[in-house]
Amino acid sequence: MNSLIKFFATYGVYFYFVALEIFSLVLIVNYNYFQRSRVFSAMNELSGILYDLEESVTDYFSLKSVNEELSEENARLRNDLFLMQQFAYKKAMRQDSVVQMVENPRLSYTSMSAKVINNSVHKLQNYITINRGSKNGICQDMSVISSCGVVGVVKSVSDHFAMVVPVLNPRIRISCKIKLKAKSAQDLSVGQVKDIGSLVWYGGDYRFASMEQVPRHVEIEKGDTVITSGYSDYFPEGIMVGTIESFDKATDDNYYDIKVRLSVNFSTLSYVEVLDYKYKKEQEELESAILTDN
Amino acid sequence: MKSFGYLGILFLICVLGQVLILNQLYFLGVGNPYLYILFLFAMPLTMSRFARFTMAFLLGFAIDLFSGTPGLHSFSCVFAQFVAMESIFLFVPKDDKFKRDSLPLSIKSMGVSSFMKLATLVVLCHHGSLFLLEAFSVQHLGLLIVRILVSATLTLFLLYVVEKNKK
Repeated sequence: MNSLIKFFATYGVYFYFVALEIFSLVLIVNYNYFQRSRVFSAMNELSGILYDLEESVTDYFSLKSVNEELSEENARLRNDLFLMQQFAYKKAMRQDSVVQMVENPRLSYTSMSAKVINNSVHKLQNYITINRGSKNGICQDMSVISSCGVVGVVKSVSDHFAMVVPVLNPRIRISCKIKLKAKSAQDLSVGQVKDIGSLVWYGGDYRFASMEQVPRHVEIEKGDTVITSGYSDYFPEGIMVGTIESFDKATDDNYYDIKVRLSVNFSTLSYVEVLDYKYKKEQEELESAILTDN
Repeated sequence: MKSFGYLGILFLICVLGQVLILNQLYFLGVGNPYLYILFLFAMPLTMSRFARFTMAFLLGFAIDLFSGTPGLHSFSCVFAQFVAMESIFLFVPKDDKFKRDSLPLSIKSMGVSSFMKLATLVVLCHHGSLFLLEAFSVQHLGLLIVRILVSATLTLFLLYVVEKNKK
C-alpha cells in the first residue's frame, strides 16, 4: 500500500499529463470540424477493413448453405425453363397448325437438386451416390445432369440414397449429336445438327470420352459442340455433353473415332440435378411392346 | 521570487499579445510565431508540477478559445511543458550557480547557450505537435516541415529578443 502511494506520488504527475493530453485530444476531435471528419473517415476506413477481414473468414462458414440454396435455385430455374419451352412450343403450334397439340411430351421434365456424397473417377466402372432416394421421388433410370452438362443415369434407389451410373462407366451409352456451328441467327434458332452418334467411355482419363457411330462423310471440326440428342428416353434434348478434342478417320472403318472433352468435371462434382421425365413409362411401354412383338 | 501577481499579468500579456498581434502575422504565408510559450519558461521551478501542467493547459486553452481551435494549443502547450520539465537537466550546466529551486528558466539563470538549446527543443516539440494536429495528416509532409521550421525560427528569435531585454 505504501509503495502504491509512493508510486502515485512520484508518477502521479505523469498520469495528470497524459490525462490533460487526452482531454485536449478529445476537445480537438469533438469541436474541430476538420479534425473530426478526418478521424471519422479514418475510423470508417478501419472498420471497413475489419469487416472485410471478418467477412473473408466467415464467408467460408456459410458456403455450404449458399451452395445448397444455389443448387435448389438451379433446379427451380430448370423447371421454369422446361415450362417456358413448353409454353413457347404450344404457342408456335397454335399459330401454324390445325392440330391442337396439348404439349410436347419431350419437354415434360421436372428437376430436383441433389448433393453428391460419394464419387469416383479412376476406376473402370465409376459410380456416384447422391443424397436423394425414393422418399424424395427418385426412380430408376432418371437422368442426372449438373449445371455444366450431362452426368449420368440413376441405376438403383434406396429410401434416402440413389446410385448414379455416370458417363464415366462403360455400362451406359448416351445418344448425342454434334451441333452445327451457327453461321447466322437463323441457324441458331433452328439448331441444326451435323450428325448423331453415341457417347461411351472405356476407362482411362476422366476428362475425355469417345463418340462413336458418326459416319465418315460428315464434316466435323475440332471444337464442335456435342449435346444430347433427345432420342434416348433419359435425357432431354440439347443438354451439353462436351466439345470435340480430336478425331481420327480410320481407313478400314466407316465411322470416325472422336475424342470428346467432357464439359462436366467429374472429379469436383458436388451438386447435381435429377430430371424426371413425365411420359417415360408410356414411351417405354410402347417401345417394348413393339420390340417383344418382333 | 516572482509573485503570483506577476505570473497572472504575464499570462494575460502572453494570451492577448498572441491573439491580438502575433496571430495576425503570417510570415511568408507559411510561418506564425507562437511566442506565448515563453510563459512556460517563466513559471518558477518551485511551483508543483501539477500546477505547472494546469497552467500550461489553461494557457493553451485560452489561446484556443480566441483562435476557435479547442484543444489544439492545449495539447501542444501541455506537451511542451512536459518536454521542458523532462529535459531541463540535460541543459543545466554542471558546476554551477544555477539554483533550480528558485529561479525560472531564463537566459539569466541558465546562460544563453543552455537556455537557447532548451528553448529550441521545446519550441520544436510545441510547433511540431501543433502543426501536425492542425493538418491532421502527413499528406503534405514537406510543406508541414517548412511551416514548422519557419515558425520555430521566428518564435525562437522573438523569444531570444524578449529574454535578452528582460530586466
